[in-house]
Amino acid sequence: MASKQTKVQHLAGISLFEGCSKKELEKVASAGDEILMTAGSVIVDQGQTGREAFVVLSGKVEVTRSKRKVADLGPGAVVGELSLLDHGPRTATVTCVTDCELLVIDQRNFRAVLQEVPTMAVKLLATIAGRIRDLDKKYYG
Amino acid sequence: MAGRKDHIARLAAVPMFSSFTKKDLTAISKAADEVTRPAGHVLIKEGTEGYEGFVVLDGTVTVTRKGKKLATLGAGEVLGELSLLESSLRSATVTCETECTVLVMDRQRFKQLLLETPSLSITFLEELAGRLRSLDRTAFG
Repeated sequence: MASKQTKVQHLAGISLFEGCSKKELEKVASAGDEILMTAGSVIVDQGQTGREAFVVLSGKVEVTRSKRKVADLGPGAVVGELSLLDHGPRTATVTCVTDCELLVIDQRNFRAVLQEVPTMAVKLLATIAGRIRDLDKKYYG
Repeated sequence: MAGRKDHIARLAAVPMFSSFTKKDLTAISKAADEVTRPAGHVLIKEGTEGYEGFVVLDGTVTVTRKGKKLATLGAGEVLGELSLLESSLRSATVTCETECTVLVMDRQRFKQLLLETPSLSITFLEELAGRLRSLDRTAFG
């Protein structure tokens, strides 16, 4: 069982949450559930819609896109963060390589946090706007 | 001078606002001002810090980047909206080609609106997450 502090530390490392205060992240951590998944379990499946994000607390996961391996990720990695905000399809498949402890946050609980903490929603909007701007610049010069 | 009701109908037709409720659009239009600018007026100047977003209600505008013309845009187009959410330099210049009537909103008023209406932030986050997803897809397949 990971401590609240560990969860907040992992959340603080997620780029979507840059700029969020410790207090805001504590609310997010409390809105999540800790689960165990065994090696070989599929966390998210490319093309399926999902309404949760997962933060790896312990263990190792593998990310594949169109059956091609893209990355190995460990503690602190986040899977499906955009699904906290919309209901688009999963862009990759993520599978547990070892047994994993995960923090699951579902969209409904996350939105409840944003309703309760409007400043956090404004920070997230700024972060996402910045990311759109960066990608836009990269691809359209 | 177009009335408030007309603004709401115009905003509803803008793709970026398509998932907003009438109540949301009323709140947005109340926080905006309608202004008319002559042909040749520069609405947005590339490389400068911007604090405003615009919706073109009437007329046409020209978008240029590094002196090269990128597009001519007309009624219903949204310009500079990311500057409502975060501070960054304008990525293009927008000049009125004809006399233009535009809705202008500034960042401070917009942020205030988001803080007062968290549900608006949530709808915006959903919209921007979708945009990020499709940019991501273009970038990484």
